Amino acid sequence: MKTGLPKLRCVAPICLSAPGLALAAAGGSGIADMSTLCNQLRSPIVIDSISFYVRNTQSNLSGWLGGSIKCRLSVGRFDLTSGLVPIWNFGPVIDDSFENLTATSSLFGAGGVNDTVAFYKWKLPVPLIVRQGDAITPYFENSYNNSSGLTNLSPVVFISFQGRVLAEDQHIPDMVPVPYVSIWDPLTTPSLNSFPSVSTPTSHYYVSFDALKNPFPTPLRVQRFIGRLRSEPASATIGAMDVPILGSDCDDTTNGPVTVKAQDSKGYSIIQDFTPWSYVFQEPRRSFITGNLLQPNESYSFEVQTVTITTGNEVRPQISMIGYRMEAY
Amino acid sequence: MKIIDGPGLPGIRSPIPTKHDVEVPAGKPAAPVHHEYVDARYAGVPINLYGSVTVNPSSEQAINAIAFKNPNSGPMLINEIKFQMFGGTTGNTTQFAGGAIACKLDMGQIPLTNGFVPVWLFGRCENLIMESLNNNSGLYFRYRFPRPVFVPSGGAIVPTIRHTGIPGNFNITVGVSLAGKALAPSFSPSKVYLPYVAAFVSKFLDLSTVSTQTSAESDLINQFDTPFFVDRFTARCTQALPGGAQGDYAATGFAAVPEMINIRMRDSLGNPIVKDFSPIYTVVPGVERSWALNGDVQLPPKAYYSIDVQTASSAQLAALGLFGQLGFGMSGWREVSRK
Repeated sequence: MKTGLPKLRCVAPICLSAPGLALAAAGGSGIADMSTLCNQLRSPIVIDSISFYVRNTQSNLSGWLGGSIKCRLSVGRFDLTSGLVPIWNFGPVIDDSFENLTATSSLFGAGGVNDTVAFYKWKLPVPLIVRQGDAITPYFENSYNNSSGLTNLSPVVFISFQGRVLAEDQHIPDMVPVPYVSIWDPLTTPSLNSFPSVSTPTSHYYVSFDALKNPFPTPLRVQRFIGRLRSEPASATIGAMDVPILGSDCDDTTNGPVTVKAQDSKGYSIIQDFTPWSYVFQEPRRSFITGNLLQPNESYSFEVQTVTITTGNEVRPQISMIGYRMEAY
Repeated sequence: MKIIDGPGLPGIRSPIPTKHDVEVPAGKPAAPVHHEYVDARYAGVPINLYGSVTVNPSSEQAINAIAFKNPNSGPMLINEIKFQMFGGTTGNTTQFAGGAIACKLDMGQIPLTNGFVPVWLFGRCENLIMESLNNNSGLYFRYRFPRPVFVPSGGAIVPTIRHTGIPGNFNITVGVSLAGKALAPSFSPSKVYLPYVAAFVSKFLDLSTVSTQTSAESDLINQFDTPFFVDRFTARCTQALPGGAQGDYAATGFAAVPEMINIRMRDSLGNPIVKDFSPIYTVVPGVERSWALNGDVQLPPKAYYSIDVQTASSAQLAALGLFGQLGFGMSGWREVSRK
């Protein structure tokens, strides 16, 4: 499927950046300042990438931020996400150092308390055209699980769009590609304390059913899947290297605590047998590149099984499907 | 581009065009790599050229140009430049050396940089961990040229290294590698791509109060007579204590900087690029410290980007006595026909 976009003629770069949005702990939500994210120029712009910057005034928690802060994006009548997507599920990992930065002093917190920060970036699979006066609307939610006893989490999130200004006489086709992220994030329940406890030898079994679906009447070009595992120990301590680290994107240990299999809605296998998580979503990028068409109303189904994990820890998968579809502008 | 008279100034042309006296070219997208380069893809043999120099604080030194000539004579296509740094002795630790060492590149009389550019502003950050100089372990930066650089027979890309003086208490040994391939003498493309990197480095701004600075017209300028294809912007922040410096790395207080240094940006044609002051790492994404444009934006001849940098104020940082510095880079290429 071709995007139908001609080679775009651009006159200048542009960055739209919103001031920081403070999210209350455990369920806080809000919309970033739309006046700064609106295309106020006389020409349409194209957005090439979306970046997130999150700061939290508590140490050793930055690895946790990407899985708990979620974002829903839309531009006009077009949804860019299927719902609230954890911000680490938009783009592949580029260097996980950027997701786990700690400062020895706080900028705004009390003395002796550290800041943690994390950066994420989503390079869109296709440029997103934003007309004059339109804006990409980001809605954020802090889905922090309060059960682990960390109650001091009120992060500040920044979002910005990097793109280009189109020439005034640039022709925009009638049909334009629009990026889309579909998310399977099980147990995002309003009851924040209801995560199952995964204790040896208990195993848990998750099925995505049709969460990763093409809801549009046109085919969806799937670019990649991104898989993250969110772990939350029962205590606010950092685990050893061979067990999932507090709040981070935990990896399989020697035998793999988490396995995954997948098939499409026609029954064709994508991952035939339960396979260690890291063999599907390998650690450096957490990305599984594909490049196929998903027809309307079809879906991919993932099954995830947690086999063994340190007693008291909780873990759950977060899998996203990134692609784009054509829309009439 | 066509220069016309500015309003109210008949017959007078400014060397720096403004929105009123220049016709902006209609943003022609970058053309694919010229077919001669494609044909040369599988020709030649790999080559890696290396030279090193030890620089004292606040001094500069060129690396012997002989080291960067093709030892087999003949032309070359250079794909990337790599920097390695060592602090000399155990105990010399810094996360700052990417800003401490600046490099000027020339190919004959053709400048490939706008003066000295801190080496961490050449390209994107590929691995943050590898940028920390800890007890004389090396630290590494790489810049992949957006288009291969043709170096004619007998020519060389010559780096000159400057130690900016921070940290001021030890020498730094800098190794520079150029990697590419050596070509047959008959390879003589009709069109060449010349990379160009420019940077604006602010002074150290007091983080205990609101401080501002504006880049000069000559910092992020296309000083040539041909359009400049902007490949990417890069940005790095440095924070410093009066007794030393800390760098763009996680370990020591760096996290305070992203919201402390804010920028506003426009070009000399009047286009707003960043309308309001925004934290630096929301403009240039914190991931990779890079904003990729891939040559889809052109900067007309003599046009430039202007940056206003403003610090926030923090009582916490005031108590620490911290200062912050912004480095902002622009890299890309221009196309030149050979006679």
